[in-house]
Amino acid sequence: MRLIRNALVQCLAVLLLALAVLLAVRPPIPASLLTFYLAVIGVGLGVYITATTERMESFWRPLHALLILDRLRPARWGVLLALPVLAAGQTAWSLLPTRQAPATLRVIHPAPPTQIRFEGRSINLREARNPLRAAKASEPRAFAAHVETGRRVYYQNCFQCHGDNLAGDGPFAHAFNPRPANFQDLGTIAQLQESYLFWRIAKGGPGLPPESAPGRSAMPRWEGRLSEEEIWAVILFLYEMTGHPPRTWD
Amino acid sequence: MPSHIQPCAPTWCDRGSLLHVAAVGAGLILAASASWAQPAPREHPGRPIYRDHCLQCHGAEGDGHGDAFDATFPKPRDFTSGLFKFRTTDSGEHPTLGNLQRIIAEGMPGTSMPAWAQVLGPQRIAQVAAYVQGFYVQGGAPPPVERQVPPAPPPTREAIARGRLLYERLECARCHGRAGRGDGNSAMTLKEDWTGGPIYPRDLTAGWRFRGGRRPEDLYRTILFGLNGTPMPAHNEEKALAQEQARWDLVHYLRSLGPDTEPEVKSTLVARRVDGEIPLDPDHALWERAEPFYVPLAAQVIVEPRLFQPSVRYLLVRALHNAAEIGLRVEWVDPTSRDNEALREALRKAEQDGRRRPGDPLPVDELAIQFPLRHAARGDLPYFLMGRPGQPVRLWVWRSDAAEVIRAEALRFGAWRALADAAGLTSRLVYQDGLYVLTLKRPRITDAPAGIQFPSEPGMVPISFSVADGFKGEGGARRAIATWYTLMLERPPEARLFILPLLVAALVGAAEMLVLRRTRARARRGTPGEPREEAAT
Ligand code: HEC
Ligand code: HEC
Repeated sequence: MRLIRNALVQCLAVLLLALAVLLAVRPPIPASLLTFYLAVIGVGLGVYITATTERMESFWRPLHALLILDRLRPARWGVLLALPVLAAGQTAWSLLPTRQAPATLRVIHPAPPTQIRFEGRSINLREARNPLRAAKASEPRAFAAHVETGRRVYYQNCFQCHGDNLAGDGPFAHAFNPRPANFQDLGTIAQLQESYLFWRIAKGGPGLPPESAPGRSAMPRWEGRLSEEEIWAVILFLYEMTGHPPRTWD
Repeated sequence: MPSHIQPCAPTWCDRGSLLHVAAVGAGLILAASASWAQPAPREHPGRPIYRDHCLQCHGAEGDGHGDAFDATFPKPRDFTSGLFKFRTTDSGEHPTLGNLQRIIAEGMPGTSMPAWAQVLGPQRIAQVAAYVQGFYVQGGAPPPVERQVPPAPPPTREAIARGRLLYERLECARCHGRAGRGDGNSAMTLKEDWTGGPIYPRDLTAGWRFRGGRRPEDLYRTILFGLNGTPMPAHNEEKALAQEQARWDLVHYLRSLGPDTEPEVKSTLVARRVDGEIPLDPDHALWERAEPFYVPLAAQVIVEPRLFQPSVRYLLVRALHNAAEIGLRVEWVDPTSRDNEALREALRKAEQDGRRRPGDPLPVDELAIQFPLRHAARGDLPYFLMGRPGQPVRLWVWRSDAAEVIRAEALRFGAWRALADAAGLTSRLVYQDGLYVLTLKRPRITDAPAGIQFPSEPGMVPISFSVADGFKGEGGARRAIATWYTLMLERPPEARLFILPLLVAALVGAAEMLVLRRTRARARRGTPGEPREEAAT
């Protein structure tokens, strides 16, 4: 119990815990961000320690003991030797030539424009709703037919990249970076409105804003190849097959 | 084809057999996996699985005419033909239920046929396999005799050497080529039985794309029983393969031709630093220093005219640099080239059939290496399909009808204009046994107008590739494409790599000593832990 009340022990425990959590997060946090998070936690701990004199003292007491008590001599020299070695190692590591170009930062779901022109007609993305969805409640047969149309569109045009099972793992997927979107994943269509999908499908990679690296995206632009109705149908198909509900405006 | 094979789609062949439906009823799962030739009623438990997962490719009638038909090569299998490639049964026979389950569970790598093990699980795979069987088997037909595949012995160097002799003796090279790259003399003249369309022998050096699996037992089965519906013959009657050992020798030789797992895809192509001159000889020992960089290729399905099945599936790229030059070595498998026998024989055949006139130009193969003309360190890049207006790319283009690699500016995807100035770019091409190896090098700095510069390490120049196999009708926008990668020049070894860490260690050590001495001195004076104002010494 006394151990837990010691400020140094508390600080070390918090740091180790934070490190364990940060390292466990998938996908892995980039090294630069990790350093930043740890620095923030470090500052917080500094404030915590310096807040009262007792805490300061409790923090320094074990360190002080390590430096002066004779019975701690082996531990003392162990620590004093380990620190320069660690520092040298860290320096050498940071100087080693990297074999990996820095990852390109890219906004995956940029804000859509409010208005797009599709085949000469303008479509307001804020107001646009999937016109085929209404049939879901009222005309189940017509709705099923729309989903079938979407299925046909998908397997004639999309599955090569987005995968037979909509998981972003089609036969061509690994040749592209960024990889084709995985629609089963909760981070893609489950978070987006249907009109957003309409924009991304109609305008493709080339329609992305600069912060989303349009030059790298292999997503084709389907305007001119798919009709407006076919695009809405394939959007229905994506949501029906994955079971995700589309995000709505309200 | 054995006479008992009758096309029979489950939608009509059992109409009216209500009695049967009732009899099969609940116990069908068991029955289906235990017995052969279970007709498929409308209530078949495999039917909804087939409708949800297979119909889009294999079609409602099982004839392969699903929605994906036009966008797929090879075409989805027509089950009503009863012809299946991967079987442990004699040539011409049906597969066993177990054979169907295996191929459904593991898929066919390199084609659009997915692996279903994760999605469906064993029980539903058994159900849908039984349903697939219903497309070609009528009740009462005797089940095919299953042949056993014994466990594989471990490979040895001697076994591989003996296998090599068998490969020559059995004339596998007639189709698969001497080195196994699918460039045999008759390779481009083969036909499959479903549509009568062309079929090409497998590249045996890329084991991760064996459609029937890459384990020794899979190869044993393919060699012994052949692939129905294709020219790949069965060899179980072959005298040279009468002994169990000889069969495994051949299997081990095939497996020694290349890796059986797909190489890792990385994003950074590192150009190793060397002291000597960059060699144009592709076999020069210096190239061994550079790690092969794997570039998978996809078909260009983005702009018209599109391509659905690329002939060339990957490149291996190596890069080197020294103080003055940068060099690349790119290799790729293409079974046809200007002066190889596979192409000549295919063209002769085409002339006989009237599909080609004597004197028509030869098909042209191409490789284009692409760099952005301008790019910010972290910003966006030109469109990866050869840029777009305002965001141009430069190309280094090799064509099989030109002597040297040219520098070019891209106009749009698949079209370019040659630049007059070669900027010191030199190259050499070697083609042998189905493999192109192109080496090229250039001074790192050029004063040619609008040239790509590699001034300093690590450089970080974006790079991409595209390839066309002329014989397969590729060229222009119909080509195999890759994404952007980063070419990075390795730093030469530096003195500071050794000096700086020592310096840091010394500094840290000195600081420690200072703290230690002051703390202990204070402790002796009897005020532990109390910081006291003292002039620094
Ligand atoms: C995305 C398209 C696609 C889907 C979906 C698909 N297949 Fe296939 N399948 C193919 C193609 C293409 C081939 C032929 C490959 C070849 O000939 O090399 C094939 C071949 C087969 C074969 C023949 C194997 C052999 O040994 O010759 C079987 C059996 C098969 N599929 C079963 C299924 C089943 C069952 C499903 C559903 C669970 C399914 N397939 C879903 C594309 C597909
Ligand atoms: C008449 C031409 C021909 C000959 C001779 C021939 N093959 Fe093939 N082989 C083919 C074709 C065509 C294919 C591809 C079939 C397909 O696309 O499914 C193939 C495919 C294969 C495969 C790949 C199977 C898979 O899972 O993808 C292997 C392994 C193979 N052959 C080995 C051999 C060996 C070993 C020999 C000699 C004993 C041989 N072949 C002789 C035409 C031939």
